[in-house]
Amino acid sequence: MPQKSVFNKKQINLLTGAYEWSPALKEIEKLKRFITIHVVWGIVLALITALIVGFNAYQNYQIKKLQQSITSKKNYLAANKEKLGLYVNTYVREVYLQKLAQEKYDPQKLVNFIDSVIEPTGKIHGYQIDSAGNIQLRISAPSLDDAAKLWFYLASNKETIESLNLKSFSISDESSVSFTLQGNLNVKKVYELYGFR
Amino acid sequence: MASFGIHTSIDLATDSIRAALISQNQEIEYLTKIPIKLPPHIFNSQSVLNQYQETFLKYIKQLDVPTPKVSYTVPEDTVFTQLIVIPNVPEEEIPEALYWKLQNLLPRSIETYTKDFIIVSKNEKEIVALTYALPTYIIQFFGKIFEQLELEPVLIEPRSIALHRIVAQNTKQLKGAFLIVDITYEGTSITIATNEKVFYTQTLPIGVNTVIEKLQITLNAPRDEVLEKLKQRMIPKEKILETTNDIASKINTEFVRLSTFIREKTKMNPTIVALFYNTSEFYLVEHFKLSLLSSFSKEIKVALINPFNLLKIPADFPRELLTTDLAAAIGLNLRKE
Repeated sequence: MPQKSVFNKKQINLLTGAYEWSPALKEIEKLKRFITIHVVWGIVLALITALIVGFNAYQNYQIKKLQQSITSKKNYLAANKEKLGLYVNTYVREVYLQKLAQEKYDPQKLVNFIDSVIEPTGKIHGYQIDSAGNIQLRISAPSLDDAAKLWFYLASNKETIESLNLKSFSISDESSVSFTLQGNLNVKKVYELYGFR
Repeated sequence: MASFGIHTSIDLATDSIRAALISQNQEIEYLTKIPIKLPPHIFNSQSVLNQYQETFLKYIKQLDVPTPKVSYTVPEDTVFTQLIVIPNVPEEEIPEALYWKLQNLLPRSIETYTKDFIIVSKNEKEIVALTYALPTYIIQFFGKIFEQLELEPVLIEPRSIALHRIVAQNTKQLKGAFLIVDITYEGTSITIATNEKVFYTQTLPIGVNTVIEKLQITLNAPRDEVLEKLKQRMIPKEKILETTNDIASKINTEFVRLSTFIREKTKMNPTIVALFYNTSEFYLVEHFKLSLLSSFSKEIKVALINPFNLLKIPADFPRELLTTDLAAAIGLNLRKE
């Protein structure tokens, strides 16, 4: 369409329009298309990059925060070292004793073993026993025969009773016998045989 | 701009399609109108318009257009009209400057409109341009229909521009600005202009239909009954005037706003109101005229414009076609370039 002065233009025609007259507008259209394709996509890419960088920065910040908190805790610990030593000693002792308690021999179980050996025949009036297996027993039996049976039984049980000595002996009017035995038990064997662990 | 040559003009109104062909010596060669039945605001939606393609094809076929070229008007409310003030830039930059301003005013993307403008006024500081923007889908829609009928569209104008041509011919002796009031079925368009150019057009969503709807409520009667009573002049004048006064006062409000603007830009005062009306509701025209007269100040005349004043009417011409609702089709056909 030929160029025409817009000031002389008196009529309008909506079929063709007048804006096509302007060559500058065509340039603007080109620019618009360029902007849509290049700039908009550029902005999208820039946004994605910014997002990634931002996320990294946020992570670094989190790590830094964590490190700061660790450092502050370390400093606190260093400042309270003495108190901590006490806490550690107490803790170690507790653990050690607990372990000891689990591994030591149980005297009650040894008492039970002695009871099971002696009770059917005689009666035990006093115990002295330690974890190493040293025993001293005060026993009474109804008669001398019973006492002899008991001695025989104990003396023949070599596996569990390592040594046994008669320390004192007396017979009362009613013919009941009282005596004291001192000796040594093979504690390990007792436990093995009778499964006391 | 090249001449369009002989072409038939078609006025696409909401209640009928009117067509005209006026010869070089202003003789009526072809004039017709056919009533149509379409829902209101059909042009405002592309999908709704597309549904009526077959209907429009049928209607336009009925016109039996006598020339291979056609021009047509579109309803005023489909055209986005805006006065745009821009700084005084070099002439070649005016379309560009208007483009950027108009872009922000249109409801949809500017690319979906076909745009044109005329310069209303110019001084050292600023340029005022009247811009028109028509949705391109309307042009494409009618383009397809005319293509099927082997007709070539050469021109599209808003109704107000076509009506302005008639008024300008009838008021050549008057100096100054005037107001054109075009009351149609769905809306009323008011255009402020001088003989040389149109300054501004505004469409109000009130028309003949508004009056009928209000009368329906006032009389508590169905639509057909109201129409029948109107035709037989059985409704008291006061009741009709109540509604037409309401419309007239709205037109006046808009007129005051527009004339203030025109006075600022052109130092002219509008002195006459040219009234067009739809003849299918001819029984309301006197009421509209009375309402406008009472609403406007006394210095302003209200005149019914007869589009046939300057035309040669053949002796055997059917009298029922000598009506003002053909004014837009006639005005459009009077444009020769």
